[in-house]
Amino acid sequence: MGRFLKTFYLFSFFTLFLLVVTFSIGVAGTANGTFSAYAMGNRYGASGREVVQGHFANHPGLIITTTPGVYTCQNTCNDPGACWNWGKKISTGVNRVRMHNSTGGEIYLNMFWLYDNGDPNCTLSGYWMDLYHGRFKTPYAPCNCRGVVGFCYDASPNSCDDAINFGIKFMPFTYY
Amino acid sequence: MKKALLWTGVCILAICCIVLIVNLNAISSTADIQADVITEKTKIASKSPYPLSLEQVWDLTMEYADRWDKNARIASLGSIGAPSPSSCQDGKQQEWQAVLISSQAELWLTIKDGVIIEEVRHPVTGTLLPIEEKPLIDSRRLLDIVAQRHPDILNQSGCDFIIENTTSLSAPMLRLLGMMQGKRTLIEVNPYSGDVISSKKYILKGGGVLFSHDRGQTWNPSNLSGLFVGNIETDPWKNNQAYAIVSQNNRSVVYSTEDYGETWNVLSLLPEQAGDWPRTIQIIGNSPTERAWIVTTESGGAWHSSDGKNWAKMTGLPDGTITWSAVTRSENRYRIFFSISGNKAGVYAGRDLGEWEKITEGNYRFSLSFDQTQAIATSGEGKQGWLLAVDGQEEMMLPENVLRVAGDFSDSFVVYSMEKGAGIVKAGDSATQWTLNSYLFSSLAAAPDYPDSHLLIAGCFRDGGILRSMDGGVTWQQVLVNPNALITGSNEMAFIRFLSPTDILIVNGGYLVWEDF
Repeated sequence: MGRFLKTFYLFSFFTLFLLVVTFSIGVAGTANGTFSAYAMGNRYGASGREVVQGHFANHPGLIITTTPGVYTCQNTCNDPGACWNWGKKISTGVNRVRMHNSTGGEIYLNMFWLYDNGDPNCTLSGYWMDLYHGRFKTPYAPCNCRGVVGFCYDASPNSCDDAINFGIKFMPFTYY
Repeated sequence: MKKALLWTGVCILAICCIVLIVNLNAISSTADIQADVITEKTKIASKSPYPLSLEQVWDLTMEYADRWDKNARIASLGSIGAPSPSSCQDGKQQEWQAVLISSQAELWLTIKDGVIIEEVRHPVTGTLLPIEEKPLIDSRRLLDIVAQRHPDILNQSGCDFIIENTTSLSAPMLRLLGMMQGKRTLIEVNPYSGDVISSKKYILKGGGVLFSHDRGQTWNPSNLSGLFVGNIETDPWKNNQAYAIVSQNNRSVVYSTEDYGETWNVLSLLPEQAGDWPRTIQIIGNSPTERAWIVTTESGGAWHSSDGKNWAKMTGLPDGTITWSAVTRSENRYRIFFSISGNKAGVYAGRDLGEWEKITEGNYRFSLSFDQTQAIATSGEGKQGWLLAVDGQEEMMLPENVLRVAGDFSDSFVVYSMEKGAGIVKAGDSATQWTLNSYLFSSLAAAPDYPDSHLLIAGCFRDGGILRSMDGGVTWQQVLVNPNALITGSNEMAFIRFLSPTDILIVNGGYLVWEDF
């Protein structure tokens, strides 16, 4: 009995250890999200980088420093994603998003990184993600997407068309 | 005793095993999803488990780039992840992302403590350009340069460092992203000479108020244009009057109209401590002579004024941003509701400004009934909601994960769910008649004479403009395709208020943008 108990406790300890390890690794999660699309728009995103294909925006989170090194994120839009840090990655898995690159070639992306913010009025609910579709337009077309003047590059495709064609999608996604 | 202990142990172990299996599943499914894009995980500096400066990460990344493709160059390199509190002093961050480009592909690398923990291959998009020369200014030197101009940025909020080259730039640009006076701030520096190119802050801009005098058939721009409108509210006693809370020149400013929304004038400025990101405005009081105003802001709390001009900070409410508020009225009585985020997040209700009752945990947004006697609080996270009134509140179940509600809450009302679209719910009927799912509704409101007119107005998020229903949500007609043609904003219709059955206001939302200072 004593030997059995010893083995049992050893096994328990090992399982608990694995549990802790997997919890620390398992920062990924899956959720259902509302995906919209934008194009052209501001040259720089909220993160200070130029917004490029592969970036996405979500609701802004207000980071408050109460004491040095201690941060509180005030999630004012009630969006679980609003407090993600810059560079947070999401995957849409098998749902690849169709866009065009500068030469007009079709590209399909399913990995996106958070580098921008949007919807400051908090009109949409949680896990809203706005996928950036590029800033390309034909030379004589206006740099204007849905009435919003933006920053553009002259190229052969029109990124705004891609964004409008994407429309709104409700998809499961994984965040890492 | 020993047996009982053993069984308890067995039970705990069983639970642990189940959780373990779930966790391992999550990890393996993550790996499955990444399998097609991650080619390998490579350690490039296993002896550097510390935050690194821009120059250190540059060297490590280039070492890896040489192994991946001799012609590959860094196009973008920037710190990511949780900001290190000492980063504004030592120029170091733990996590970085680099984008390498070759003629074949873009390689997005995530680097943590000097180790590439992930790489994702993307097709070439054509926006990022190679940085041919290593920057001469490291993040540590960048701090010195910024300290000479804007020492306030280098605080404990943390700094991010970015170097990138894109088609829009004539040369690579080095940037420092920090916080100054509660605002994101960006300093651009030439990475070779150290010359400061620009200083920018992230501000709210654009948007404004549109009005209709014909039950929403046609829309016109008001003079409140080009400014971020946090919210609007109508005067309960004078249907020609309304108020808007606006972000202008680093302050929160109250505007008012007395001609049904056509022209707006400044009524007052809130104190500087209120900040410049206004969230809500409400009119309270039991009669016109007791009329008072309450404004809430993103970081400044709630403010009260009995004359609309002089403001005092409200006390007694927990700390946190009040993003949503509502006032219900009945028989010359009112009750105000605040949804407060933060450590004590919840819906708080009060009939005077001294006592607050916490109704429920969590954040909720409010939708008012056509006559403003009731409000429905929805979290956007489930079917559960709250029906709120002057005399009390009760929990309710909604047909879906509902974001907005409008109509006669005791008879029939229209719900809006982001996933299902607009639908009609009738009292006593468990089924919902879904009528429109091709647009994202960012606002929805019913006319004050809704039981007779069945008039509803919906504002859309970007595509869709303004929609109108004259039959309680059964059919919808697009009455304005592009509100941005009247007032430039985000084309996201944020708020709708009825002054009367014929006079309606709608707010075209604003946006966040970097502006030189």
